[in-house]
Amino acid sequence: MTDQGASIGLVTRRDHDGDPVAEAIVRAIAGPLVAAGMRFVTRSVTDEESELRAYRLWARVGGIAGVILLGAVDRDARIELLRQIDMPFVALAPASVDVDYPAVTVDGTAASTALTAFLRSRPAARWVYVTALPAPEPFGLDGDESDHAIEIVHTDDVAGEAVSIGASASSPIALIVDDDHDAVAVLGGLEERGVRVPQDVALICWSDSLGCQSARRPITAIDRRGREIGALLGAAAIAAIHNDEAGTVAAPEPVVVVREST
Amino acid sequence: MTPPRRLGPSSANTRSVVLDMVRSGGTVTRTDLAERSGLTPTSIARIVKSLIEDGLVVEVGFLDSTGGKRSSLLELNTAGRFAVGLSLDAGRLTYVVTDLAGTVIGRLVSPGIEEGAPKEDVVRIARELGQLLVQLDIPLESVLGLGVAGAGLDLGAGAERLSLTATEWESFALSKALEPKIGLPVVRDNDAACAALGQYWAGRVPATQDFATLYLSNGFGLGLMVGGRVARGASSNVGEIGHMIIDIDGPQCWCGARGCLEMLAAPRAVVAAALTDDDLAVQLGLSRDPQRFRADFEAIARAAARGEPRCCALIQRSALYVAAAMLSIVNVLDLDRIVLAGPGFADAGAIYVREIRDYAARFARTRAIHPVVIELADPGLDAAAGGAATLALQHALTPHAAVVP
Repeated sequence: MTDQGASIGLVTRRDHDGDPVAEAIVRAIAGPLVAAGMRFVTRSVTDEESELRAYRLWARVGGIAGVILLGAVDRDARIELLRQIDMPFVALAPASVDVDYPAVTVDGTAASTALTAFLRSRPAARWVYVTALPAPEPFGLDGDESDHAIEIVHTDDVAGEAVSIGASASSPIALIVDDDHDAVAVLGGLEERGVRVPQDVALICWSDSLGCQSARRPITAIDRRGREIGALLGAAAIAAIHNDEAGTVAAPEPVVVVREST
Repeated sequence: MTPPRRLGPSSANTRSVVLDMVRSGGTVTRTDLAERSGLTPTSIARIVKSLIEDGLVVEVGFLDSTGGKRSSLLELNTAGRFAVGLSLDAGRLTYVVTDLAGTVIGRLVSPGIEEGAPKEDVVRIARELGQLLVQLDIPLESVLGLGVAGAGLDLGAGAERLSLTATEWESFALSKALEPKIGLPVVRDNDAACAALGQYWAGRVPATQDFATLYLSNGFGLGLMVGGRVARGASSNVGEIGHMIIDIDGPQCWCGARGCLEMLAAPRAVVAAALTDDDLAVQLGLSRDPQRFRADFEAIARAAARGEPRCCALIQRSALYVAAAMLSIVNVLDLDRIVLAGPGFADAGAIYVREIRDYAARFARTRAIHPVVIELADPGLDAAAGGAATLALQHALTPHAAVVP
């Protein structure tokens, strides 16, 4: 069977727009597909019902040989539908989800594990994660016997709060923020207050991006391996439409990319 | 406050201008439009009525009453019409479908034009576009047009010359060949101009600000927005920055000159430099295949982004040449914003941003008067296709603002 001209489909949710990891994943999926002479179709929707409608449409009009599913959960209605309409698929799923389908799985605690190992190698007396997320990713510090404990500060004003914490710290501190916009704002705010980065405050961004890399002082960040995950999903999708036994593949582990802010 | 824009009632573009005011104004009333345009309330009422009938504008509610008749609120009917942008690239074709607000509805990525003959590719493009619209559930009648972004010179009559890679595209009249096959108007421009237009239309750059977009794919292109319009020049070929001479004793360029930016800093030059280091070439798995130089460049750029020192040095060298070229652009045009876009900046764009920013901060003649903002477009890979969709939208909806390339 030739892959020339076959299409793989992906439905994305608009609430993921701007998420650098999700965007890196989606961009990278096309690589292996185009190299195999295939096409990659994406449809942007607002909610799950619209996503299900898109799959039904694709089954009806044809032309989509298989789909890639992002963010699979237990008892996922999308998977049920894809099986009903006999559409081959591969999913990106947290490692905590039981999967009996082709999937690339991501360990939700791996990023925090990598970050914790990095922080332990640094002199900061305090680690403070300032976040606007209602349920930030777990920090994986259970059983941690070090002297440190991560402090999590929830706020809608991440940059303002982080600058305030950094400027009032009496000893070296490590600040972790959610995204590059916050990180760049914190960097500027600390400099305005005369706080030295990284000597007084080490700054780390939870997800790496071109924004972190191109900041006036490049910002240390966690590379969540979006590009590699996307490439794995693309390759797994090709296998899925061939009915190959793709099974489950673990995503590569995140790494801390050390730059001038730490 | 922006002064009202006075329009003559006989202006052929009045409808287009009013629609553009609705688009850029978000939610407006007929009174707002009359004040901003200088047209009479009667003229505005007539134009708005026709825009509503055509499905381009919708009434979304009413202003709170101040005693008299409540004014209805008008908005662009974003889901009423769509546009498609196509980035015609050697490595891949990227189609982007947007609504009237420029929101991306869907995309298609397919193999590039590298090995195909133009006539065959046009047939493929028509087929892929038709399938994409069906898969997005968008009727052809609701699509305003197709914008096409591609590298190379505009030779007139819709023909374009793609640089270096696709000689068969020389003098091929793309628009003329494509329009009858897809049943849509086709408008084309170079990828850098499209990327600049996309940034402007999406509101990522203030409407009042002149700026340039540096686009990197196989080579470099410069899109220049002045006064809210793409600068075009005598033959719609503004922006051939790849042939800015950086070193008069430099390598011979295919254009006939020596030491062009493209020969010193474009992906082929970076790959050629990397291939002189056998150990690095093996380590990165470089193909040494001239047809696969883009993949090899991506491998080098990715390694540079990870901090591999030899790759960092290669990209930094390229970035220094680019910084010198962009400094000249900043000095000549007194720009305060440069946007980097295109697949060539997807992995190591940050290194280019830092070098250009550093050069501008240290050497720009106007450095004591204003800073120069250097930033990466988001998302780099789709900038040209998204901008091409904008080109189609602008061409169909607000022709007063568009100059036919």
